[in-house]
Amino acid sequence: MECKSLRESGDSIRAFDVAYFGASVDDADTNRRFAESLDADYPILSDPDKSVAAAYGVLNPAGTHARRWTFYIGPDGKILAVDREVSPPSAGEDVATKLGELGVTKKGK
Amino acid sequence: MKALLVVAAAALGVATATARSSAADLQPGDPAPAFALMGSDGKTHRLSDYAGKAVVLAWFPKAFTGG
Repeated sequence: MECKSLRESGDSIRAFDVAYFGASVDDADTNRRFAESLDADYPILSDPDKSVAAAYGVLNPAGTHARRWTFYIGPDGKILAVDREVSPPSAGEDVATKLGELGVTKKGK
Repeated sequence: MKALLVVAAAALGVATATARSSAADLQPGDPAPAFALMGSDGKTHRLSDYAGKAVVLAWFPKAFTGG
């Protein structure tokens, strides 16, 4: 539902100068099929060995899945914000709102 | 020798990242951990590919479960 919401809000997210991705510890083939099923117009990244998930601190206590956290990273490569209470149904519009609040540059400005 | 140093530095980086994730959560201002991950578009995406641009990384638990 979160990934679907990101697709539905694609236009308002893409108004910003931003690259955006879904990410999970599923393998690449699973996420390719998942993206196809959603008609996702953005890449969903796969971290099957969970090393990046660990680096971001998103693994659940059992170490089996990523938590539903969204990271906002600035043009300088530093963390701008971390949303640890993502609401799947409104995730897409929430991302667009947050990018505005964070002062991320809009395209063509 | 140089290659060895690079390997050692990389290992240290991984060790630091691992220790970091268990010790404290990432906070605003922290450097975002580097990544190079396969995307559903068949391309490998590296954080460094997007330097100069904002990046949103939306982690979710599992594909096909309401993702």
